[in-house]
Formats: sequence, structure tokens, C-alpha cells
Amino acid sequence: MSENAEPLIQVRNLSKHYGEAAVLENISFNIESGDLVSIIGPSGCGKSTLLRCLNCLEILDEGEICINGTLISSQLALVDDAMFCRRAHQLRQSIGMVFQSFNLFPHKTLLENIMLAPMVVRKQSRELSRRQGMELLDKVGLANFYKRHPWSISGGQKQRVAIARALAMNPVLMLYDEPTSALDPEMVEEVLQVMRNLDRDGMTQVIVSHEMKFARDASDYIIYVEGGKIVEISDEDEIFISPKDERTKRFLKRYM
Amino acid sequence: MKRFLFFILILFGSSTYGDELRWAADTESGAPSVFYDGNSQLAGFEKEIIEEVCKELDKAPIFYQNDWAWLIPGLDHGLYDAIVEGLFRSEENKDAVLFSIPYYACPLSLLVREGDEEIKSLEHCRKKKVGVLCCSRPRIVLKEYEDIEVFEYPNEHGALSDVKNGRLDAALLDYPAAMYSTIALKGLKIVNNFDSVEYLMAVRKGNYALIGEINGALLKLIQNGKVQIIVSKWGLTNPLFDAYIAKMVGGSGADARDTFEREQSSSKFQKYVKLLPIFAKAALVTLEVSICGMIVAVALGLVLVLVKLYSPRWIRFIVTVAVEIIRGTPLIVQLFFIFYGLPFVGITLQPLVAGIVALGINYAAYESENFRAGLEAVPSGQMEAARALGMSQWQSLRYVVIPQAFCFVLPPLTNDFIAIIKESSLVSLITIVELTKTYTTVASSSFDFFIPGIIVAVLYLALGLPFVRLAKLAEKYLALEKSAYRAKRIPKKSHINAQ
Ligand SMILES: Nc1ncnc2c1ncn2[C@@H]1O[C@H](COP(=O)(O)OP(=O)(O)O)[C@@H](O)[C@H]1O
Ligand SMILES: [Mg+2]
Repeated sequence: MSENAEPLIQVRNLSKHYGEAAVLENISFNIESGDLVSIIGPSGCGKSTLLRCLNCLEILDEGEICINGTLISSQLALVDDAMFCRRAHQLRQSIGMVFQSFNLFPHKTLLENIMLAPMVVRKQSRELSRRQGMELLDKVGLANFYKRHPWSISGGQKQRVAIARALAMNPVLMLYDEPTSALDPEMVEEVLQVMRNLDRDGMTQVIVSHEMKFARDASDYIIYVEGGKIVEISDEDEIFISPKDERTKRFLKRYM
Repeated sequence: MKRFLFFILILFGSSTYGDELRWAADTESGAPSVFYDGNSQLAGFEKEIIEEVCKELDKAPIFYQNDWAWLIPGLDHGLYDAIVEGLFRSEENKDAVLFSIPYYACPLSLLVREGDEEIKSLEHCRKKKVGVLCCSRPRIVLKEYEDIEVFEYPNEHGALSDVKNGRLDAALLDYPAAMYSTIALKGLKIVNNFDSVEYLMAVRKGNYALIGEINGALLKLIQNGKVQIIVSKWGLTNPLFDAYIAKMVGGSGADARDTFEREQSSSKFQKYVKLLPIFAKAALVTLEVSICGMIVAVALGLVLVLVKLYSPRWIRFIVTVAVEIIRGTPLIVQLFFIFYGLPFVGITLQPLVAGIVALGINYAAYESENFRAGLEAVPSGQMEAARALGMSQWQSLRYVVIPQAFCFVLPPLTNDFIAIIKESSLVSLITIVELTKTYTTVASSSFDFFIPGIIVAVLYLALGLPFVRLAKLAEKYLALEKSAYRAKRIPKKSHINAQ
């Protein structure tokens, strides 16, 4: 975390509505390269929406996001739609996303799941994609399973493949939306371990999670969201030991 | 596939004039005019006359089959150059085509059941039921008898069997048809010959060159006695014909008639065996129309559904309206519109192409709905995951969503294929000789709807069978794929902006 470098992610005054209801209101924060940040908060507070905005899966209504030097703003979407789409498309290629429900492609083997995007989007050769795919499967400890189809492996293994699949596009940033919520308790650790390893390798990661222990142990800092607003951004221990805000206190009490 | 393309090319290419005389008739009207004989060869006294005419003109005769009622519309937009099918001049058609000089003349014949001693002439038919062919000379004659109940039939067979089974009291037909009917269908007799009708060839309005050539050839053939030889060979001479010839030149055997008589009494089994090759050929045509139609339907259906789901609203609206129009109108109307209607705006399609296009468009509307259901059955998280990996919308559809939708779509698709095989029988209405058309043709010229019907039914089943198996396989495959979905939680429906 060098002091003078631009932060990898800058979010300024981000707002998002669905119809009348505001889901996100005036969200601003920065994330430095190499950080592991947890976003916590009660269900329905807008965490998923926030991640999806970072990934341009949703169009922002107000504000701007600058990730790795690519600027996306609500202004741009209004003024030059084509330019907006081009930038969003470009941005998505450098951001990996992992979903609660894995969303692996059931008609492809694990290896093919990983090879698909590099071949289709980057026009990378089959040979290279294959080699890279095997390396990534090895990295998440599933090299022996490369011929299997997604339905024949456990939830934890699926999530590890999903992470490997996202890594295949060489992202500068990984987003996780409750990556362990759909998993049986004994499988949670294997997924968290992969994320810890990535953190060690210097990957920037943003995790929406209810794993408070993991958030506390692994995160550089924690963003607490409630009702579409950032209530508190604090150092990982600080928030658990002495939450500044009354609402954070109430939320954490239920989880600890 | 190559074979089909070749087939289509031939059809496109066949609309040249050159040294051909393309002539049309309806073989369903049976012996002795133009029909398929026991060896599945085209036969009939009119066929022999037109062939003589072609010899005179040094042209190759090319035969086109068309339904009696559609003969003149087909001529109008250039499917063929001439009609040789017992046409006579009437108030309705006299301005529609150019007629040649007569090549045959005869009376009308009143047919009743053998043993019926009551009806001796039309006068005795008052308050009774009489069958005629639609658009025939007898139909016009009977208009003057208001108290005779007239029933119109599309072919002789229907009228005659109804006389036999008592639904009608009599039938009024042209002399040749009446005479040959009594040979083929025992138990009927001719009680009266009266009135007269002259058979003329017809060409397109304005085609004076061709009608001139045909008249010249006919005159020559009458003068050198060739027409008389053919007519007497078929046993069709009668006082009216003799009088007409005498008028033309101032001047008969029964070989062909004997042959026809022999054939009718020859072994039934042999007759059916001889039918098999033409049925096999017809089955191929049915299969060709169905497969090509389905290929068009699948390709067009896919385009329609992608447009409907992923394009700007106003295009979507147009497509939705188009699909509703196609789904809300009968296929037969679409078929006639494409075949007989589109030529008015300059688009003239060959019959096979028109048939394939009509079936293809019709089924595309259904397939697009089928595909839509299939695409929507793929969890939205799949599209989202693909977009998140940096794939464009089209790439996500192409590599992730469509392959998965495919296995949802396959079972209904194969069922539709079986349906299209059956519905392809409608293309027989635009001159394509496929299974159903062959059935009615064979049946009405042999007066036997039973065994040929069974043969046709078996062939239709045999054509559909591979696809029934395919549907079963598809369902098994689908069950396998479904387990893939069962294993994971379906994510809550989330919305992806079309970017
Ligand atoms: N596509 C949508 N249309 C309308 N409302 C939505 C949509 N997606 C999410 N919401 C609403 O936005 C709010 C935030 O949702 P979400 O970001 O999924 O919350 P979280 O992930 O924190 O549980 C919820 O109240 C939800 O009902
Ligand atoms: Mg969520």
C-alpha cells in the first residue's frame, strides 16, 4: 500500500434506485491494491447491489466508479451509451466475480468451465487455455477432477472451481457475493483458504460475507452497510471490539 | 443435404421455356383423360394427343400435376404453358385463358345403379339427388333444373361411390369419365347420353404464339387422322366426335380401352406391388419438404426468439405481431398466399420452395415460442456469470445459454418434426406430388381408397418413427442434464441490463 499511488477502486457518491426505492445512497470509499475488504450488513441492505455496480452488472443512477484507471459514471451512461457499454465490457474483463450459487456452466467439464472465457473473450489458443486451466485447478486443489462435470462435485469444490474460473481472466480485482453462504459448514474452510492464499499472493479482494470470524481474521478493513448507506468503515479489530455506531453494535451482537 | 439443395436448384432452373412444352393436368380425375396406369406410368388419351402435338412442334412435353380447381391460376403465373384436361369454354373461364380448337367432343352421360329402372333421363331426376364434378359442364347444365338436388364432388370417385351406396340417385359426367367408371366400378350403368361438350387446350392469355402453334398442330393431327386413332384406341368415339371430325376433314379399334379393362381386372396384389415405387418416391418428397421446412423453422425460430428477447422495443413489437399473425392464421391460407398471392408483388416461388417456405415460416412461429421457453428455463445466473467473465451478450448466449436451452428444446422440437411430416400433406394443394397427393391420385384412378390408404398410413408412420426414437433419446439426455440443475440452488431472479 504505497501512499502516493492511486487507489485501485474509487467509488464516489454512488446511488442506485429500483423504481422509487433507493437501494444505495451516496456511497463513497476507496480500496487500495492488494487489500482484502469485507462488506457486512443485514440482509437486503444493498451489499449485492453494490458489488454488481462495481462489476457494471447494474447501471448506476448517480456517482462514479474508477477501477484500475477505467472511469464509469452515471453521466457517461446518459451522454454516450456506446462508450459506457464499451468501458463496462472492458471493466468486467479485469474483474472476477464469484456468486453465492456458483453459477458454473453445467454443460461443460470443470476444465472447460475455466477455459471458456479466455478462449471466447481473449481469443486465446486452446492449448494455452488448457495449460492455464490445469494450473488454476491445481491452485485450488482440484487438478484430478478436471474431467468431471459440475453436478458431480461438492459445493465447496464448486466454489473453488468458480474462483479458478474467474482467475482465468487474470483479474486485478476479485468480488465475492456470499461465497460460502450456500455451503455446508465443513466446506466453508476450504473456500476461505483459497481466498487467504490469493490475499497472500497480493490479489485485491472484496468479499460480502456473513463469516465474521474470517472477516475479522483476514480482512484489512471492514465496511458496514445498512439501509443502503455506509454506516462505518473501520479496522478489522476495532469494529468488533468497539463499534462506533449503535447499529453496528446491534448487528454484530447477533452474529458473534 | 446436398441432395435437397440440388433438388431445389433443379426446381428453380426448370422455369425455362426453350424447346419444352410444359403442360398440366389433374391425374386425380382418372382414366381415360390423364392418369397413372397400373405401371405408374402417365397415360390417357389427352396425354397421347398432347404428346403428338409436341412431336409436331418439336418440343419436349413436360408434365405438371395440379389440382383441377387450381389449373388456371397455375397457368396464370407461369408454372406451365398449357392445360390439357377436358377443359371446355364456359362463361366463367372464357376470358381467363386462350382456348385452342377442340380436340374431342362428346355428350354428357347419366349414370345410375344397375337395376334402377326408374331413372331414364334427367327428367326423372327431379326431386332426386344427382352428383357432378365441380366446375364441370354437367354442373352448368344442372343449374337449369331447380328441383334437382345437386351435389358437387372434387373427383368422379366420390360421386360414383355415392351413387353405388345409395347416397345419390344418379351422377352426371362427361362421356369418357362415365364410360370408364362403369368399367372400373361395377354396378353402374349409363342410361342416357345428351347435350354436348368440347374439350379444348388452354394457354395463358396473350400467348398467341403458342396457341397458334397448338392449333396448327391439332388441325394437322385431325387431318392426318392421328387424333381419331388415339380417340378410337381409347374407345371414346361417339357421334358428336364423328360429327366434329367430319366437319374438320370430311372421315376408329378399342385397344387402349381393352388394356384399361384388363388392368382393372388383373390381380389386385400385383397392382399394389406396382404402386410401391411411386409411393416410395412420394415419401421422399414428403421427407424432403418436412426436413427442409424444419431447417427453415429452426433457423428462423432462433432468429425470432433472439430478436424478441434481446432487441430494441419497436423491433420486438413488429416481430411479436408477425408471430401472432402466423400463429393465428391457418397454414393452408399462408400456403395459398405465398404460392398464388406473392406473384402479384413479383415474388414467384417454385412449388417446392413455396411449400418449404410456408411450412418453415409457420413452424418458425411455434419454434420461437419453444425456444423462448427453453432460454427462460436456463437460470439467469448463467447469463450473469458469463457476462461477469467478460463475455458479450451474444457470446454469453452462444456459448453458455443456448447450449443449455437446447436440451430443454429438443423433445418438443422432435414432436414438432413428427407434426410437420403430417402437415406437409397440405403442400399437395400447390401441385407438389407427395404422399397424400399420390394416395388420392392412385386411389381415385383405381377406385380403391382402402389398400393404398393403408400403404400411405404405414409410410407416414415409418417416416415419423426415427423422430419418435429421437424424442425418447432427447428426453433421456434431458433427464441427465437436469440433474445438473438439481444439484445447485436456483439463484433469485436478478436482472441484467442489456449492455
Ligand atoms: N432487480 C431488483 N428489482 C427491484 N429491487 C431489487 C432488485 N434487486 C434487489 N432489489 C432490492 O434491493 C435491496 C438490496 O438488495 P441486495 O443488494 O440483494 O441486498 P443484500 O445483498 O444486502 O441482501 C433489497 O431490498 C431488494 O429487495
Ligand atoms: Mg445479497
